[in-house]
Amino acid sequence: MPPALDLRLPPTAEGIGTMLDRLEAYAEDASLPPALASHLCLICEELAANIAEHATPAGASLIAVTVRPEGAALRVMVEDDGPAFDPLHAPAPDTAAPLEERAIGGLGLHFVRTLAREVCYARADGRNRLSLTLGLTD
Amino acid sequence: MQVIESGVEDLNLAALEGRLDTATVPAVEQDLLALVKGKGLVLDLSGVRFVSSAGLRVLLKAAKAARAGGSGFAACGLQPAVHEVFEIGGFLQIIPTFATRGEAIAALR
Repeated sequence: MPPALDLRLPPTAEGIGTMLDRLEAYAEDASLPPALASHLCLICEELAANIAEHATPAGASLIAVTVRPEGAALRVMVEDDGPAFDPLHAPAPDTAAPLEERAIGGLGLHFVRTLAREVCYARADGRNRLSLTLGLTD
Repeated sequence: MQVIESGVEDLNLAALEGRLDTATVPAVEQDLLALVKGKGLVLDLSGVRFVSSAGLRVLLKAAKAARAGGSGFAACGLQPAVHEVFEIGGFLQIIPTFATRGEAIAALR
């Protein structure tokens, strides 16, 4: 079983770039199936982008990402130290609207909801903690 | 971003590579939007291994700008991971996608 990964990054666009470099390297070292690797990168990018956009201006100084293999699945946790915020209450986007009316808001969380299982939000130790499971068997 | 001669008047052809995400989009956004000013655009994504909603946002802007200007916009060469993001995001219905540059250019000609 591949090892766990723990990342601590600044909640900025540059930090997100570093996070993706590290996640891609981890996926390669752990020989993750390509689809699982891309889901891992996408979900972490979307959650981190939400943090950089909303929590960083409100004082967040950190994004922490942990990835732990569990059998063929991955347990993923993304935390930030910004004000309490549960992203799972965001409304779902309209992915069937025509081009002229299409908006991008909420699409990141739509990817998370579509691709992950057991998505949970908790506020603990002064941090927002989003945990989820990724696997190809569901 | 690499801009390539499309061989068709009023049609730009450009190729992106790497990742199209929160960290990389700011570097390409203005150049990309400039390519749909008064011209159509075929965007070759065959060198792009990752697109997030930040990447989709700039593609949506370009598609809307092209539509508003009466020009075409199409993408080609989507890798499987990128195709999946288009599919889940509902972008296959709003941005025409093709397997190859030739097919996309022919469709916008």
